Amino acid sequence: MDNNFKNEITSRPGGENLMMCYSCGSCTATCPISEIDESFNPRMIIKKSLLGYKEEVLDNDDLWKCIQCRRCVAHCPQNVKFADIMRVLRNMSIEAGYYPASLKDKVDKLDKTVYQFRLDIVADHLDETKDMQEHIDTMVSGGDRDG
Amino acid sequence: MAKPVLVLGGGIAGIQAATDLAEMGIPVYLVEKKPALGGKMAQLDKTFPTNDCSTCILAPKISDCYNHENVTTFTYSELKNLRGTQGNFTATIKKKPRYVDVDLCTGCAECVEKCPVTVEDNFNQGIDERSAIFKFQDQAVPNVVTIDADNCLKLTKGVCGLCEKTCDKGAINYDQKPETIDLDVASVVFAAGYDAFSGNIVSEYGYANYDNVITSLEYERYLSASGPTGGHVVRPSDGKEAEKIAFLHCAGSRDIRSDTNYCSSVCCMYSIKQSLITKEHLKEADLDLYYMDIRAYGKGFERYYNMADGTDGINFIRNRIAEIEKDKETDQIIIKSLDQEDNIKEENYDLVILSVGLKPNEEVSQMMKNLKIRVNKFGFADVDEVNPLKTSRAGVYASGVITGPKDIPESVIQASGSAVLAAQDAFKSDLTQGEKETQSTKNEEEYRFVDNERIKTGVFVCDCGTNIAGVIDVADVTKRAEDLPFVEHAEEVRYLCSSDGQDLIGQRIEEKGLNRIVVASCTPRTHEPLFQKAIARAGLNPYLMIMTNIRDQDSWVHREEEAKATEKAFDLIKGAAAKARKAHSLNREKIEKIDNAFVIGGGVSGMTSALELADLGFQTYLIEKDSQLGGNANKLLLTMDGKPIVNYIDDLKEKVENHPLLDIYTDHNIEQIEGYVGNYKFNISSKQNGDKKELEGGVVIVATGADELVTDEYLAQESEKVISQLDLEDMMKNINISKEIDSISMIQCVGSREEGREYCSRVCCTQAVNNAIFIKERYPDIDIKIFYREMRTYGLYEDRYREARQLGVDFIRYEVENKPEVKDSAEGLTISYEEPVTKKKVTEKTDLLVLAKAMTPGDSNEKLSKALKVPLNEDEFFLEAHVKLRPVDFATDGVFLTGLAHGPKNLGESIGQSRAAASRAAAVLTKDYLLTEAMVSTVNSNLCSACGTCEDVCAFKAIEVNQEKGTAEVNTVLCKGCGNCAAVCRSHAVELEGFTNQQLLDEMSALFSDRKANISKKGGSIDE
Repeated sequence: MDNNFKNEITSRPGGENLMMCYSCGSCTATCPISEIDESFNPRMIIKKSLLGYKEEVLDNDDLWKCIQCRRCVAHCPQNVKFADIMRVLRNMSIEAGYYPASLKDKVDKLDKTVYQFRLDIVADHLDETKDMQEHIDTMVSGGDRDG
Repeated sequence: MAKPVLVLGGGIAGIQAATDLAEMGIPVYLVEKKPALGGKMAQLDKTFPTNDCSTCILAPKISDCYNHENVTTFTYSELKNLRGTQGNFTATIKKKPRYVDVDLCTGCAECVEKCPVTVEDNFNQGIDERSAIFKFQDQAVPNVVTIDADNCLKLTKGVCGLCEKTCDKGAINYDQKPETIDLDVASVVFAAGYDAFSGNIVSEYGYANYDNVITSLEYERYLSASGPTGGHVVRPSDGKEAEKIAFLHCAGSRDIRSDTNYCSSVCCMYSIKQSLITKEHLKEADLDLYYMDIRAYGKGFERYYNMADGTDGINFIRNRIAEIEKDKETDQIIIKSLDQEDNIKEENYDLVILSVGLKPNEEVSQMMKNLKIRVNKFGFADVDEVNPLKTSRAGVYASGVITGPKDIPESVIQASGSAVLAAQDAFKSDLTQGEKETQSTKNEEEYRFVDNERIKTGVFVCDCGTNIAGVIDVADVTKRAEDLPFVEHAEEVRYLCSSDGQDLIGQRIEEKGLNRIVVASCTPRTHEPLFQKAIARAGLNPYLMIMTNIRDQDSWVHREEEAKATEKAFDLIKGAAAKARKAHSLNREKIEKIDNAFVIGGGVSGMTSALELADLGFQTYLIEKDSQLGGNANKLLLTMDGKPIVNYIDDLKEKVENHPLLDIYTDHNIEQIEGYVGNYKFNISSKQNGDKKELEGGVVIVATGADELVTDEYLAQESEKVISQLDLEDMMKNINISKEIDSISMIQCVGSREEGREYCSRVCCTQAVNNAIFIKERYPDIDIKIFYREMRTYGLYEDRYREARQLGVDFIRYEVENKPEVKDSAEGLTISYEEPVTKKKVTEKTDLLVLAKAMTPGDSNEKLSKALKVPLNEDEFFLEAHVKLRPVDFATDGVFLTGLAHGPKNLGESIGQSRAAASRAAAVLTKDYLLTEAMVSTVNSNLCSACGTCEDVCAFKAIEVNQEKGTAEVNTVLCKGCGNCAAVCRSHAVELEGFTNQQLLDEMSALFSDRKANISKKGGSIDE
């Protein structure tokens, strides 16, 4: 265990409030990803960071599951700003060599695509040009989303 | 006469301070901005941890205060300015116009019926409505109405005027103007209280949009028998009974987003209380309490928590709730939380209660700033941890929630403590320098002479809201009481103990010439003196009143059997009426007293009490068994807000050692204590040379402290690397942390909160946190982990917990069934534990293990309790008269309690309590004389055979055989009227006044009068 891990995080912009956390669980309880993925647990990520499980936290696919919706930030009673901490952890994990530097760009691009996708589907649905569920099914099955 | 003192605030703290000052003979101006006294406590249904009805314990205190000859009360009035300095203030008070003449208004409230306007009733938290002319609450003191000028049609638009037409006393006066008066006072006690958070404080809880989300203060009104739903727990949306209820702890507290990042101290306990009371109302209800840490840190709190935890249907769920939604179809409230596996689950509830916290009223905060009273970052009055009652403005003392969130006993303690400080200022500014007029007794001759009158008994039966009337058919019982022998008058009253109830008794005595009174109500334990005083005011000897308890001994214990409970009530009244017949006038004797004080224990508590009494001008003897003063505080480095104590204790010792009225006896044992209030004799001996000394005094303050647990848990006795928090502070004093220490583990709750010690030691969480901060500030690289069960950094100490986290201290929770394991080996100490958030099992090295050892009662407690004839509680700390409202008194007069001897508390709290003990002791010493009990034993020497059996059974040493005279004799000052001697006397030589043999036989005859036939027929059975 690395007792300095938490200091490394707090020294970076966005990570300042890591240690304010008192494990209330508001972040996990309001996280939309937690709701569908049992193993994604913001509170646990914070606690592991505080207790120095550096490798376990940084060498972890979980880091890339966060969609940066910032609900955790909105609901945190101690202003921990977990979404910002996730960004810090992502940078640190790349610096440590657990993930390639290009992954961050890919994920950012993915997010933008998914948001654009969502905008398109909602617009189509509201235009009554396409049913929302049909749209999603088509996408999921790999079909042409405009087809 | 001493110069007057201003008490600002008519809640429980203000009332306590005012009463204490008045008892010391000091004139008091009590100023309250609402139309009636009582503050928040009047809005509560029940109080923790006794589940006493709040009004029941508060009403007598309000009554005593309001009726005290030394108290002048200004309600509906505000403090506008405070000029001057300590000893010499001028307070400008603005009396708001009620538009009602309070001297004419009888509180009949017929005008209220006629008023066409309706507005939200603030007393009931906006749940229901009141009219523009209104009584603040049913039992308002003063019992008068008030016109709300903003909503009155006459005052705003010049129309209506119905109330004036209705009032046949001519009490309405629309032309009243605000009045401003200046009061010259020596000092001020600031007890201006607080506001509860608005339900909107966390907008995600949906309070503004969802009817079925309410605040805890609103819920108190729902639970209250005199509230808008008559005590029925219903959903606001549709009035249906609520079956599934959630309580959300920390609603708005411990939250940085609303500038209320502190703990509100009382919410855990009141939420537990509300859940227990809810179960009484709704046996099948399912209650979920969502919490972060249960702060059950006070006396009796842990047991109370355990009781709730063990109750079927009350579930504690460790989970702070982030947001709430509503099911549109059912109106149920949906709460999302994390289960044991950290998966999100949803629960539906009929009703959600937000356990909101306490914050200073904004106008009051602003007023304090205007008056140059410093406030802290949360708006509370800023006080020093070691001087918790003094504000930044000399001569202005603060007590209650105005200095920070706290519960009722803490507020009462601070109020009494402030009273003694205010009193010192008042006596120093004594206007006459002459005789202290502290009491006037009604001359015995002033009571009406009734011995030659035909017996006319008045029976008064109290509804006690729904406490009695909810089970017993009071109207029926009252009607039947009219036909009892010698009963002249029988009447049902809603709250007999309220001011108007008492006045009613007085009126009936005058109207009907009543000369015996039967009160069928609650317990004589709390209310006998009150009703005695009520009839004394009407000119009747107070001992012509017989009380019978149809609440604790009837309605409360027979809730399920209303018909039988009603019969029992009638039987009890029958018995009481029969007993009343042979009651006769009794009198209390005046006793001289010695105006010195004893303080047992020379720690900070003892020294503080002694100093305050000496500063009031009383010779005080301070007795300490050790060779030095200071007690446990000698070992402390930091106060609870993390500041070094430094010179405080040395300064205190110096003041104590140099005070001309303080005689110090360190290194002394107490050999014997004799006597009673006003007349104590102590025999002490020096441990050094055995020299004996006899001392006399009038009061005793017990300040004997407490000890640290001796345990062998966690290798405490085996390894020198395992120390206590006190040992750690010693190390810290010399900044003596060895360079070889890289990691420190602290384990909390060692020995506390377990079987055999079912209490919380209160100080350890904050102490551990402060010590950790101290070390981290100097050695940031040392890794510190605190292993806790609940973090109990209550009140404003929550900020220390935040500070510790920010400095990188790690907090790891453990369950009592799964304690950390500590092992020692050649390589050093290791600690093994299961961390619940990461769910990992860890074994790691630690260089130093610091245990938060329990505080244990002193070894000498038992011996001292017997010598002083005062009780110990189940944990062997001393037991005060009443946990809520008499936290420094004992049931025995003349003895008072403070500090760790009372129970675990921190330095500041001990100092506050010690001032309170001095205040209560001063109330005895400042009087001109004492009065004995009236109901004492008497011995008919003609019948006495001097067998001595009575002496054997007397616990108070109040009756002894005089061998020369050949008869037993009673010491009326010691006699408590328990009746043991009367019960055992085989010659019927001993009788107890007020409970004579004939009275008791009459009572029993009456009780069984309609069952005599059955007894002889069925041969012993008394079933109907």
